[in-house]
Amino acid sequence: MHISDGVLPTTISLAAYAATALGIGLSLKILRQEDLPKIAVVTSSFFVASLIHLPLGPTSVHLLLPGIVGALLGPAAFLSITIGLFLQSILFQFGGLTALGANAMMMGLPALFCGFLFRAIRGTTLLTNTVAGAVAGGLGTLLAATILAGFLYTSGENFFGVAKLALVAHIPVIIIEAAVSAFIISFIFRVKPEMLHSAPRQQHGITGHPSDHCHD
Amino acid sequence: MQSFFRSLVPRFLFVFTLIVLSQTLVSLAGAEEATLGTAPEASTESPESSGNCREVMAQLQEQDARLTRELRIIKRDIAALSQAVEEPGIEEAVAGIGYILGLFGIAAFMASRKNNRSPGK
Repeated sequence: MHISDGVLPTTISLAAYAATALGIGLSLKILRQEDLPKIAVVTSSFFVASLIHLPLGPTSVHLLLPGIVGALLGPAAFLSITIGLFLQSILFQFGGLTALGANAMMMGLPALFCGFLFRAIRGTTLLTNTVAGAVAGGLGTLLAATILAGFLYTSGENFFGVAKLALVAHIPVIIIEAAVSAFIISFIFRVKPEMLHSAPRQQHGITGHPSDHCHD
Repeated sequence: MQSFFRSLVPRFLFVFTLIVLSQTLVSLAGAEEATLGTAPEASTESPESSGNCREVMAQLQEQDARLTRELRIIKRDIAALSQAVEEPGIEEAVAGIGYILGLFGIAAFMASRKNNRSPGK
């Protein structure tokens, strides 16, 4: 699920670039120093995850992980995803540089949405966190496929045809992604729950991290 | 003495004619031998050489089939190899992770410098 060079009209590419720049700017503004290592690790995972191909019948699918990135990083996910996609397009030839903006929008917007959703619906128990992780993971891929169809619509494709095709092709990915996200979230909830609540600042008092209090 | 010469001339003539005759005979025999030698060779070779031809043909066809088979294997190998070359591998993944960690390392360094400087000032 990457848009290649030359598929989108120039105006759409430029608009997507502008929107991506805006998103990165916002991500950088709310970026906090203590989150940098976590963002680095999640970015690396996102970057590498697309290389893990799962054989599925005659074809193979790979993980996209926008949902889990959003759930873990919150608004900083946009920066993470853009960096990951940039390196993917340079090193793996996934998507093109001119379509980087569109690809970043396609992955970043679901990540942001899923991040907010995850924080809203995850409760305090392991079960609710796991379910919220699964929902975020599945929904991230679903939204990404929908945005893909929307972008291809601007290049003259039939929106509903492409959307149907993209959704049908990604049903297994959505399921796998939901399972993987649920596993990751439940694991993190058990071993390092403070990793899950980073964005809202008032929660740091609850976790009782001494370093959080002296942060500027 | 004259009688000796008289008897010598016919003897010489006789020997001469004998030599000439023997030579012609030898040459004739040689020619005949040559013709006799080639004729049976040609007559026995024709079926043998056509059998040879068939054998060579079969060998060639077998070789051709073998080479085609090997060529197909090699073509498949080349296709797999080119796909593998195009597909990003562990090197690219490690390189990308290095880029990301380096980038965030620089960001963390800048942030820490800014943080360290601001309380001091």
